[in-house]
Amino acid sequence: MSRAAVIRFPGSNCEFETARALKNSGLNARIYNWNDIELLSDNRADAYVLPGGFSFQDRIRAGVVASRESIMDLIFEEAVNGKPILGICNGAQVLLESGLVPGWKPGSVQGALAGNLAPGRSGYLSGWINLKPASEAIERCPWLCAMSGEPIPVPFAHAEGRFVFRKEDTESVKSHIGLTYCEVDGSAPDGYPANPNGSALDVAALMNVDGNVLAMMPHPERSFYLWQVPPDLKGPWGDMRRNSSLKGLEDQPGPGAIIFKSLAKYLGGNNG
Amino acid sequence: MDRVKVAVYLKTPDPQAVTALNTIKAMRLLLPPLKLQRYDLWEFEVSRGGRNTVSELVGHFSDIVNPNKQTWFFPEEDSSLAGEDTELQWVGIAVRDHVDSASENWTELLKRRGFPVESLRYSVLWRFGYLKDTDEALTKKMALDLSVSHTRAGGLFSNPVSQEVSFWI
Repeated sequence: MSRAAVIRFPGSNCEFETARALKNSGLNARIYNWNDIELLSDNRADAYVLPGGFSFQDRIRAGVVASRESIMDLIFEEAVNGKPILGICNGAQVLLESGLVPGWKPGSVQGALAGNLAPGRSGYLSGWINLKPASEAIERCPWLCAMSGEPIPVPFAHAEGRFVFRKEDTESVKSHIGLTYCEVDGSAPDGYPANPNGSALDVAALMNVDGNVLAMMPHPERSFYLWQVPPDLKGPWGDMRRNSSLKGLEDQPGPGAIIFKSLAKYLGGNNG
Repeated sequence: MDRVKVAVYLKTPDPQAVTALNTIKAMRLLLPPLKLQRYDLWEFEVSRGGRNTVSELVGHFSDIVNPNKQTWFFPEEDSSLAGEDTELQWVGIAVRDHVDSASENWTELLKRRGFPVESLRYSVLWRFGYLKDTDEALTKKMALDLSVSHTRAGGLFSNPVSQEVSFWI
């Protein structure tokens, strides 16, 4: 069975549901602390996830302190070797601060997740938004390879989730887009609220050059099951939730499951 | 129009500064700062009342200064800032976002509440305390290098893609 490692930093708070999503997708998932470097080094995984939360209490800047930890040297090495790496929310912030994403020159900081930009609001925002994969990303990214191209609703919850790039990098970054925010029918968003934070190019998830590393701001592990979908949500997933009977609801996959199922599909073989 | 600056700091040791200094120690620099101070820096542009207006609004909003845990002052008054060890040579770097919706929203809020504020700008001020006899130009260069995160192994305090830095005092 393929192995996935979830890296817990001080302040991570989504490690258990992330590990559960991986396990329930047929993977052998284990949580490692940020200082379990030797243990992890001796037991390399097939894939790594940096979960959401507030690593090091977001001190200085979200994700920056974690990005300097020694365990990130190992993650860096595994990323360069082509292993699938996923950063969710705070994990995505760590990946950008590490220079792994967009990663034109690995180790150089070439993107930022800046403070939300929404009309009349600042700071922490949360809710449900719709995401759509870029067609090239379905072919290249192990975390998106099972997606059909249809939009999926996923929760988001962050204060610093606005993807920002240098003006001169705007064209180059387009080939790195994994997921974009969209309207419920999949059309491009007309700003807030479909794009909840003012993210450049409506980016919700960004890949590295090789496509094996994905920095994703929304939380797929929080919509792994259908019961996690709010019954009043618009669109087909909301309809499915409303029409589902309570019996057996706990086992039915939700829209976020596809991210973890993609990894299982990519790793293939003994994931049954 | 008056420009009035307010510096705010914690009465207790600032956990952000403690974490930052520990992270710097792990970087094994040749000449690391010996101490680090962190301040919230608010720059107000007020149409009347100058410091009196700013004192009033600072006393009004605990989101700017929470008197239970923070204290504040007008930083121009002092050659070294409040709370700093005068035996060290200090250099300050202010970090601010290129696009700062929080400052814009605060400006709107203060206007709506009737304060004569034309604009405000929020920054985080990091003050690096180096050995007293260190060359001044060198301390400025070291503080700047430490402040901008061009690489994972490099600076710490600002992401150059979304933030800007400036020397302060």
